[in-house]
Amino acid sequence: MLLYFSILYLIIIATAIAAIELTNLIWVLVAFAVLLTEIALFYFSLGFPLLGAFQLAIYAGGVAILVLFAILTIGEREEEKRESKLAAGVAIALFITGVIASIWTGLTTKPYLQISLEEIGRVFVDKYAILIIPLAFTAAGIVFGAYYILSKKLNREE
Amino acid sequence: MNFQFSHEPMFWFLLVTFSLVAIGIYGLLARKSILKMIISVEIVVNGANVGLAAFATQHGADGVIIAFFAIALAALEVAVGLTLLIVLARKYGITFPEKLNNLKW
Repeated sequence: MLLYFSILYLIIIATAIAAIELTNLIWVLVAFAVLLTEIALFYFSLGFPLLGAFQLAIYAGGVAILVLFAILTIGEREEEKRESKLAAGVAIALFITGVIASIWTGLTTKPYLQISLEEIGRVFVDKYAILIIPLAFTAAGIVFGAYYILSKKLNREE
Repeated sequence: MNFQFSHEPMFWFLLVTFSLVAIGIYGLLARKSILKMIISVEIVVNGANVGLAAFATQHGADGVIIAFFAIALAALEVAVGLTLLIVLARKYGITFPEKLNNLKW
């Protein structure tokens, strides 16, 4: 399993870096879509097929197509270069801090729980069903706000 | 061959989480394009989701459910971010956040 995990990890890291570093936006999108699909594979391997399917449908399907639509609408733009040494330093420091913290806290691994879909559904209804109401209002507010901004700007253009 | 994780150390999954979060933060700080910044935020959210799913195998189904919520809200956030990006690009020709200084005082 170490080999399987290593291959997955390398693909995930390589595509994540490619999604940020590549300059051609279509290739950025391809790398991003591969990254999202590999993460879905991770969820399947962890024993959460519903989460993997959700990831594939929402992210690898919906979000990737949204980004493609945005790229096709705005077209390619030349990106201005920015000094990235500080950013790389911050990212490496964050990574090392996380690794040291997880070793320092003595992270142990217990036997994996077998969580069925019924269990997920039961916990969801028992603990989190009430959250759906504010989430729905938040989602409606976000979508309405975006639509309002878009329609206002487009009406001004006309 | 079985591709199901069953006894792998949690540290492996935390390594994925830390790597993705670090790469996402790097993208947020080092890139000027709004599109790349949105993608960087998504990479950070996905890293956090991997951690949540991994810890769900240790502590119960709560992590998976929170990951569901995070995915739904992240998709909304992308939709709104891209909408704003398209509007800014069409109206003002701006795809770099540094040129957005209308509210600067």
